Amino acid sequence: MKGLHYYLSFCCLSVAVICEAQRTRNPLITADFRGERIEQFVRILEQQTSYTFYYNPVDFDSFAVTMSVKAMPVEEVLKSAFRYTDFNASFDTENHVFLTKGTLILTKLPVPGNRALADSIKNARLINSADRTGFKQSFANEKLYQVGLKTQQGKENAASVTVVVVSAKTKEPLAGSSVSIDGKDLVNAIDSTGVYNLLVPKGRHTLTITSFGKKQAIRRLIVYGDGTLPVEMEDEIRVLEDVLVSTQRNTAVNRAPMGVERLNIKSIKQVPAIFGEADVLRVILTLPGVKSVGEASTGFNVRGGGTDQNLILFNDGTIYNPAHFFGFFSAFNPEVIKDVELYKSSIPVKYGGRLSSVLNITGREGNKNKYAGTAGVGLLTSRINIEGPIVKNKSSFNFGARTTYANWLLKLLPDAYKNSAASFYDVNLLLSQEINKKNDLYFTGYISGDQFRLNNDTTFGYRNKSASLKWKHVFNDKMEAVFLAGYDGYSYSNTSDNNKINAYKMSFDINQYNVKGDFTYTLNPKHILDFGASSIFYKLLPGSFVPAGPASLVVKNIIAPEQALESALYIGDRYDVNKKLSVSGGLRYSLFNYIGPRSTNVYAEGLPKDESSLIREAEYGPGKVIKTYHGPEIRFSAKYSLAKNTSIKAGYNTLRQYIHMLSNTTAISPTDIWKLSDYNIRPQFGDQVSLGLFRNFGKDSIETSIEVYYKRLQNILDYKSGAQLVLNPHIETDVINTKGKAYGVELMIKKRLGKLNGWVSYTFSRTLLKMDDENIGPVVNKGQFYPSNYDKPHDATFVGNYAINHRFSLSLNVTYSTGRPITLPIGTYYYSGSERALYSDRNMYRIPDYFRTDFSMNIDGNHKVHQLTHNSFTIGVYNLTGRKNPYSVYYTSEGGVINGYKLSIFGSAIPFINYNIRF
Amino acid sequence: MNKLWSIPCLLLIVLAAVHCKEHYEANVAATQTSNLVVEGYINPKGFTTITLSRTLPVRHPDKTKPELSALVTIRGEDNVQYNVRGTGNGTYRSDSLALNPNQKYRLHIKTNSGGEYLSEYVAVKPTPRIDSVNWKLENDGVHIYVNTHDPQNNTRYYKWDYEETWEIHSTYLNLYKYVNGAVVSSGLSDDQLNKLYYCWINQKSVGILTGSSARLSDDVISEAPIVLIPYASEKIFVRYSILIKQYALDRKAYDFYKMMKTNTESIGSVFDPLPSNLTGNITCVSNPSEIVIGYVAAASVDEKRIFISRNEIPSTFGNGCEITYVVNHPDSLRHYLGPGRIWPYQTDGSFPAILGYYATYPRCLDCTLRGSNVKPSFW
Repeated sequence: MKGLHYYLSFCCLSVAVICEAQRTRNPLITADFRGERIEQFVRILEQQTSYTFYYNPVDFDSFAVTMSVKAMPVEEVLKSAFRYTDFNASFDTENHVFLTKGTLILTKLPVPGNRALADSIKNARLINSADRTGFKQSFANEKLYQVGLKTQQGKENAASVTVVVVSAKTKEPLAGSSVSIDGKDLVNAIDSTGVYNLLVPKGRHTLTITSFGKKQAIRRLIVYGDGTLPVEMEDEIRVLEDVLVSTQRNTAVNRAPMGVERLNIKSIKQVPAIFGEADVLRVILTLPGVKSVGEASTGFNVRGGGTDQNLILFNDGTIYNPAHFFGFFSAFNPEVIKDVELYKSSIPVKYGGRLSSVLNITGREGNKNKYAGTAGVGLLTSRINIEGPIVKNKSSFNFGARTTYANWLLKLLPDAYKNSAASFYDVNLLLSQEINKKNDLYFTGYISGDQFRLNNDTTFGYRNKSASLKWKHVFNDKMEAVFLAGYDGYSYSNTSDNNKINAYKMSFDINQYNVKGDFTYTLNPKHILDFGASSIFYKLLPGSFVPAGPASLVVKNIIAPEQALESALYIGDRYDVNKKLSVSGGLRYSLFNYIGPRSTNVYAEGLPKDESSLIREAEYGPGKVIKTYHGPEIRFSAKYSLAKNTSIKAGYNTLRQYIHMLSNTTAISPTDIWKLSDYNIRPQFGDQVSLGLFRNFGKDSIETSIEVYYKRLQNILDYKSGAQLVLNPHIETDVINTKGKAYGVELMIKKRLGKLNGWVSYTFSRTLLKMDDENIGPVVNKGQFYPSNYDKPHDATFVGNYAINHRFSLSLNVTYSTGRPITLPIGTYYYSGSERALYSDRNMYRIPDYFRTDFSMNIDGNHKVHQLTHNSFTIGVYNLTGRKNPYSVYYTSEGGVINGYKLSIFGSAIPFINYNIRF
Repeated sequence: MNKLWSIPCLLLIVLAAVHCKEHYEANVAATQTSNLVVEGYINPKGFTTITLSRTLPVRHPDKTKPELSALVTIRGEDNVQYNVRGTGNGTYRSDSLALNPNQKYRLHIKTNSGGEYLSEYVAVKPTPRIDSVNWKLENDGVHIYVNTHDPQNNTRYYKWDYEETWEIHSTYLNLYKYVNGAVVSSGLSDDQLNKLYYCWINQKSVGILTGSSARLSDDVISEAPIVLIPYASEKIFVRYSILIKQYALDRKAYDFYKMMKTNTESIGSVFDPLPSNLTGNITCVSNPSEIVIGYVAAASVDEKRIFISRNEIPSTFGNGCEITYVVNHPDSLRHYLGPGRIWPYQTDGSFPAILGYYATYPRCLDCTLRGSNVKPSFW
């Protein structure tokens, strides 16, 4: 119906315009202009026609015309005279002509679909966004935009057009928008800043921009030369039944990189989470290829990698411990997050330093237009978020904070623990400042902390800190750069003061200072170069153990600090060879210097490193390079389209890691420390080949994919039996290098849009480790491959969301996986007064399978646009079936006999409720 | 100091409100394991006691499988040999020896089946004296601690075993018995009654207790926790005694015990380390790949005993001796007092007009069912 309506109105208008043209009888001009100023020029025209001209002489003070015309219609005369200038002429039906500079005077009300009107505006100049704030989208859609100056018209037939897509309401850039020109999708229109570079032939074009949750925008362009076109997208408040807005056109099918998952905060919030708190990391765990050892751990394993092999970035700041409260919450406030990207295989060349994955969490820029905020109240946590402009349309802030009041939970514990306390917080501040069109500044500040004390004895505390300043500079339409300087820190501090003699404070610190410059050079839209350099200076305080209180006899034990510089140079090339083939290749060269002052133990070659093989201790002065490691890293991926909706992809990646987490527990725990590669501990190395088949169905609304991968890991750290990891000045004697391999196949079906959306994924994967070198230490499991702690061959997940209406939606999350491997007793013996367990080879058994169902209902208050606050509720049940999923199975000697136990973190269904206010 | 290393296991406690732990037997295929297990110290000043046993499959009905008729000798670096002779049940005992503290010693074992085992040479470690054993009343019960120090700052690593002894009393005197369908006087003399009334229970420690002062400036162990007795325990209802034995360890022996403890006692919580290989200092000479469990150290022992009396403790012990009234009727008597049932201890009414009997559990009338009526020599 809508189409028909447009068609009819178009016909009517066409007729009207034709009639009008006939009636006016365009007069013809014959004149010889010789450097005429505007006054003279207009007088000649007025003499020969019935038109009256209106203009501002100041605007035309630079105008002069020299040309000879003979019987030329007045429009043509004006057109010729104004060619290569930004002067405009508008005619109305009353024989008035308005001459303007820059802005065009509209003499007719815009009518949708009226191409004739657009045609009549000959020389429409591009109007900057500040002038257009009052314009409605429908008008903007019909307007003709000029890109580039007419005067610029050179010989090239093509011009580079930079489209900047921002939200009309908040002026935030809209990443992941889809841009199509003249009905053709742009294959590589993928950018996280909402900036798209198009290379188009000069002339007229129709640009269609779609962005998630926004009304489709259409821009009619006339391209004269290189230029920029800002596009403001209006919110789509209602989705009409008969309009299928097909967003995210650049779905996985069209992109060269593989193993990339993108989630925006909206879809993250739809997944039911424990205690109702939207949790980035929990949602990541539902994606294929991502696993964890169990529920009380936020550390995750990607394609067989360890928990320390994930680079977790929040606005480019490295977060070392992404968990709060024993892993029940992730350390990211959902209100300040815009979206999350997880790279499992094709890791962009600008990232490095971890073997398995990059989890890039992007903070949300504050609203540049008006003040807004949200507040949430949950069973265990509360959060607040306030954002708004500092200078309207120029700069903004976004502040988020969260805290907990979990102590009531602890009060439910037996009396023995009544002195326990636990708390956590996180605070985010994001500032953004537009200096001018070519320069933007961003500041991100992040701090999160945990503190807990059990039974009045030991207090544990840890903290992540990050601050960075980012400067985005656009050199020209083809080249832009991002420069960043930042500090990231992680530290923990545990104190015990119950026994005055033994009272201690134990702490650990990582500090890293980063600088990087990242350049993007667009040769043409099909060929983009990324290059840059980065450097991280690490300073670790590997451990200190100091007396607490005057009575303490604890000896101050401070392990000498470690310093290192990790630098990288990289270049990457994204190239669409043709419509079917795209390749993306990159080389990253990383260099790691372990720097003094420090003393280093030198051991005999080929012998296990221990006290007996120690040859000497070498002392290095400040700034002296103790050991250097370096090497290239290859990042390659290619896509070949078999059909419009089907493509195959292949990739090969190598990575190096110079910082290692030391932990002999299965989960990330608050006593884990990190260690830099040094004279004795080599960097980890990993490479991966992957292959994928991608196909979309039904107008790209359903995406399917199959990916297979094979990965090798070298020099990953394992520990000797009884290893001492904390406060050990010679850790190299307690760790061993292990090899690993991982392989798997990941299947995914995803429906992004519609009333029913979500995904189903299935993964078959294996992760095997091997320690067979007797020269390093005792071999594990007779030197055979053995399953890693997180080897869960079968893993299936369903995440679904069904919107019953605009105010009420249901979400369901179902997860199944094979139980993780464990080491179980195969025999018993009697020692030191008790029956004890004799263990099997490592990880030879499995705990029972894991199965969990979560359900939640999201209820929004009314959707009236103008009200003080908007409310919403989330009510749900975590572990709906109440299954006692085992976290571990273990045997322990109690009172002289062995007892077997199954430990479940959640032994029943857990209901939750969360209340949110938006203002 | 123990605390520092067992910190992570405490963390899980917070999860107690939501987490859930239940008994579970994993379906593990029964593997026939039969590894030699060697336990004991070479005692430089006195008797050396070594226990030999074999590992058993999981869920085997027997607790231990003693290794009998092995030939065990202590061998010094100076080639001296001392026999450690089997005394039955897998226990082997030497004569009272006085070893040279400047020599290193090891254990040689030759089993009946021909396996030959050797421990590594270990230096003799003198054990410092226990300074004191103290106890404190806390919310959850009586905590007993040990304190020691080495003025030479040489010992650093310690292990403790203990033996608890406590006196128990029957709740009632065993004056009657049910014989042939009737209740008659038990006919016991005062002395015999006392033998059923006063008993002692003896119990050895079951866990591994180690401590270290390695992180302290002085070699001082301050209040290393040994045992916790809840107020409701019968141990402290009459009189309680504990004998604490202290051994000095070297670093390797300490690591061995710590590892065994980690593997078998503190395991399973979210932040606990995974079980790992337990390597002692004994190898099988005849088959080097055979796993042998055990660590033989050479250390003297120091002992200290303390007593705790009932009047020092706010005991909340309840004897649990439920009283049943049995009507004096043959059917009732047979029903309640028959073999394997409860015992009478008091009459209702006097002979011959007895209306009924008060009866209770046998353990409340005969303490030898739970302990020994031989008074310990130190009591």
